[in-house]
Amino acid sequence: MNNFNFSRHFLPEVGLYLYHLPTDKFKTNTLKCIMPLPLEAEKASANALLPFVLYRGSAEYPESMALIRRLEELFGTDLAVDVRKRGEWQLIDFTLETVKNSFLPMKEDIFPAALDILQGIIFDPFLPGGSFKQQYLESEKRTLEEEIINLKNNKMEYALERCFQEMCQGEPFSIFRYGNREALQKITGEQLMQHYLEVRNQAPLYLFFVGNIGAEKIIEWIREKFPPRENIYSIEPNGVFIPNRPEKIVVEKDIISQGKLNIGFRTGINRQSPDFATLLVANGLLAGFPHSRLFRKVREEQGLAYYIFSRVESTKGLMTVSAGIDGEQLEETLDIIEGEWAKIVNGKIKSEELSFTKKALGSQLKIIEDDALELIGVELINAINSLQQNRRELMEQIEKVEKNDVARVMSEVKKDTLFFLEPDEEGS
Amino acid sequence: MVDLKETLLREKPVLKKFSNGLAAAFWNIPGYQKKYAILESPLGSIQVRVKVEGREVEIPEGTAHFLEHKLFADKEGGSVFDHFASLGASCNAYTSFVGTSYLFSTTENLEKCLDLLLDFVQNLYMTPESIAREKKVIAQEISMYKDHPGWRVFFNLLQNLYFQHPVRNDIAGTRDSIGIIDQDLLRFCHDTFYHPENLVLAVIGDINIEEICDSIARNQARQWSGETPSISFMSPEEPSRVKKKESREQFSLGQPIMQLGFKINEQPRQSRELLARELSFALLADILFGTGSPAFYELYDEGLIDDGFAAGFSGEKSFGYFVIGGGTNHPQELVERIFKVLEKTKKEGIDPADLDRARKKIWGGFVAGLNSLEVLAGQFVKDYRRGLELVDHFSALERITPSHLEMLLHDFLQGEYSSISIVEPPS
Repeated sequence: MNNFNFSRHFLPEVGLYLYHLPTDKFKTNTLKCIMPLPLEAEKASANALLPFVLYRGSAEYPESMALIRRLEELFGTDLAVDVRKRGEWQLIDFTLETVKNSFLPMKEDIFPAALDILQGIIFDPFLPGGSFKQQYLESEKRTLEEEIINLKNNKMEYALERCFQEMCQGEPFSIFRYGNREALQKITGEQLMQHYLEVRNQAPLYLFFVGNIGAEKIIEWIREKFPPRENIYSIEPNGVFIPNRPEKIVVEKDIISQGKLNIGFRTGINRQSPDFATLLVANGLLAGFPHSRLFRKVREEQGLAYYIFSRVESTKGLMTVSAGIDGEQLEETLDIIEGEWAKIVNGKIKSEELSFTKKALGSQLKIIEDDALELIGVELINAINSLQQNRRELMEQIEKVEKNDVARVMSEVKKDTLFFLEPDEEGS
Repeated sequence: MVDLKETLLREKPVLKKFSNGLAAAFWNIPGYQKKYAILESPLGSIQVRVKVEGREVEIPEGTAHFLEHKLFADKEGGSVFDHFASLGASCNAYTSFVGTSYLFSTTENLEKCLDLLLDFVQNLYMTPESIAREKKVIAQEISMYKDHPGWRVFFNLLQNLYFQHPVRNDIAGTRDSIGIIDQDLLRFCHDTFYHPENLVLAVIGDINIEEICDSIARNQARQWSGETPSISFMSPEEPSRVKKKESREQFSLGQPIMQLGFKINEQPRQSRELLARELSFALLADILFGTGSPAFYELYDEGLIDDGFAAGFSGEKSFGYFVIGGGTNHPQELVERIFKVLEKTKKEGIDPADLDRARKKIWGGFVAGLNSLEVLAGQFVKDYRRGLELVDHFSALERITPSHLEMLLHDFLQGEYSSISIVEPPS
């Protein structure tokens, strides 16, 4: 698996970091282009709006339909655009996937043409009269506003987002990845243009490539196609902290059939922390897998839930437990969670479950190699955390974790906020 | 043209039929860490009436899915999940309209994992208590789906389109229908639909096929296998008209969701024709309503749709439907505009250039999907049941002409076979 590490290249003249992984394993070439922007309340909506407006047209393809059709001609080259949140960074994300020529009817080489399109969208947008086309701006504002409103449609995601909002009130992490409606509505064409110029001139570009084109070739294309940018900012990893305050409990009602429980914890541990591997094991023991404590107790033994799982947000240092339960079974479920937590803190951990968890984590880390986007996702997290850790090191650290390490780390993880989306009477 | 058969041949599976009837396919794909296996029974949610050995049997809604859950218990009442975990593997299962699939992925202990998969799927252990507990878990699963507006708009649509056909039923059944499931029913279904003759296995990854075949043969020699039951799935009499033209449901959500569905009657009986129909509808959906169609950005910039707007077909030999829709603030107006697009295309016909572009797009998407071992194995199982191969997809795609698509438009996408399903926020 040593062969599956990225090589890193910095191109200061274009403000670009290239992470390159050469492989013949996949039938496609995948390129992810990330611009990390600091998560700030005033700018979050404009940050989120920007890539969607850019994707509507470039100077070469001013009409959206023509742009899309060009991608379709390139054998359905997939160009996806989105905005994500990792820790307190908002990430503009363009992902390009082209089929390798050996799988095309005439062995066409389509990657360079696809890269041109991506370059055009980011650096050479359609700007009639020096500004974005009004129709594109209006349409994308409306669509993004609908996205924000429609968070409510996915009750599990909504409840998790609300838990984070309550938990991190006043911290940038509480900001939704698409910002908020009010700020979005106020954005004018002039403001977005101004914002675009700032991002264009100052935000670093992180390019992640997995496929069968050499790094030299890609660097050559970048130097040829991408504009000079010498004043980009550098990014710093987020710090982590555990606020000293009593546990917060928030219950919100909705007309739904099943209650959505989310408990947010502060771990005080991020990827730089020496306890990171231990935290992964602790999370796995608690509810990371179907063999985990909470899945066994809450679902298999008591039949209280269909889903119950825990997750780690490794950049901000958070952990969450999520479950779908009947409204009247909240107390019973919480008792089980508290009870199992206490057992782990007291070191009541079976060797068997520790070994299952380590194996499962090891397996998860290994199979990352089988998926280009997974490989890129892990490298991206490393990049924004300024880490160069490889998976083998992490696997070795996981192997060394012992019961008392897990107990110690879990005793320091602090329950912060309980958010329950409770079924209203009319619901069932 | 490149000979794709040659290119794809690298990924051609080795087929094997074991002496007790179990069918299996193996691919050796060097370089992958993951080893993946999937075992499928033909008992899906739409099999609610079957003839077994000449006897007609009614199966309650949700039984296939219930059996899927129940098989995860071992002899001692423990969980199969734990046994996979001890081998460093993870397992899962899902039930669809036409089958139930059990799968695992692992990086080590492949032979032991396969033993475990075959053992747990081919042996049913249950007690009245474990059945009662599982009913609680499944009730929670039903509630979870009930809280998904996208799921509701879709199943409401199927209930509008169909009078009888069980595709209108929720895969998990209802709290009432699962209430009557008992040990006898589950035992009968397992004996019948999980007989080795009815199972299909696919194993994929960086694997030694010979060793694995030997190991499976030893495993199968231990498994129970009685007489091969003769089964025929019965499809109810389904009128060609739709049951209901429109449904509206209020739900706590942001923006309304609308789906316009067409009931596709007279599905082909031949597998190759069925595949051609699936691909033709996929091309048609893309040409008429894809992001590269003239309609898409027109409707988008008028505020009638968002980027979740999509069209697509799904079907088997006994049913088929074509669905268009997504989130919209103006469901009625959107429906009218969709019909205008259909009418216009009926008049003007399909432009061959549009067809070529859509064909390229589907080609690329299909190849990209094959990066995934799960997709490859899943596609194999589906094709195997239909007597098809991977390369058939490419050759079928090549053969489709504008007139095929025009015929689908004229024959099936007619107002009288359509229905509208809307889920909207309370007024």
